[in-house]
Amino acid sequence: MRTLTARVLLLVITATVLHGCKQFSLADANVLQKGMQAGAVLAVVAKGPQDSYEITLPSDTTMRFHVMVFRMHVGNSKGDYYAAFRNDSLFYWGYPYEWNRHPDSIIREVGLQTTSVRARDAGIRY
Amino acid sequence: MTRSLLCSALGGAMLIPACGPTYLTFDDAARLRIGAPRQQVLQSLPLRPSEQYQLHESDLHIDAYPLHLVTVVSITWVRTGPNAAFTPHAKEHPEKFLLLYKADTLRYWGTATDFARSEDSAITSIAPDIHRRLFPGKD
Repeated sequence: MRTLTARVLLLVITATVLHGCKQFSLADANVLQKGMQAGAVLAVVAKGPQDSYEITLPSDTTMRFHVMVFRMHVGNSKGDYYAAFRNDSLFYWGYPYEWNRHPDSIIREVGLQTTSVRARDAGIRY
Repeated sequence: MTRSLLCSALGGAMLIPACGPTYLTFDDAARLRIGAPRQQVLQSLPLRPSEQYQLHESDLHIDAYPLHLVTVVSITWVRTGPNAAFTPHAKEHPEKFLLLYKADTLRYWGTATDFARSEDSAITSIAPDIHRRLFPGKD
């Protein structure tokens, strides 16, 4: 009986440790496709977003986006990684620096607005 | 006593700059904005560029920073004498993050690959020149 309890305990500890090791990586970003629903994205990535925001564009308040902020792990570096949905359809994804330099002004504005809201709500400053 | 305290404080102060970041991170790069003046960008980033290039057009300028991504380390085994053992010598090859300025105004940024795959044809047209500067002899 004691051996069985020890085995169950070991299994629970192992499962907890393995779950804690899951990370969002380039392998996750590479399976994302334009038009995916938010639920489908969450189902395919190894680790869900650190934060999520509802973003409204200051230049056009009818344009609303749901933005997931993942923590991307590449080698020994970590960085924020945004995925934005419009009407539950994946619109664009990438590092904040990729949003900021994009030729499309809407993509630039969503990225900057997310960074601004994140700084205000979570106290994260770049 | 006072002298030793003063020496310790001075020693500590001299060590602080050496402890600053040696790599740019993607979170640092999130501060970059199209059209920002070079002076403002230099102040907003935690380290100075490691290299600078003037491109073929006189008003195009590149600042290169080492990027904290995957640090590839190549190891060569070197024998220092006829009876000496081979010892490993590691050399780091960090990725470079490039900032392109046109007339001292920030125009584009990213890794060399980002320049080559840009949606902007003006950027892709200068990508081969950047590649030649970064990887001479690898055309």
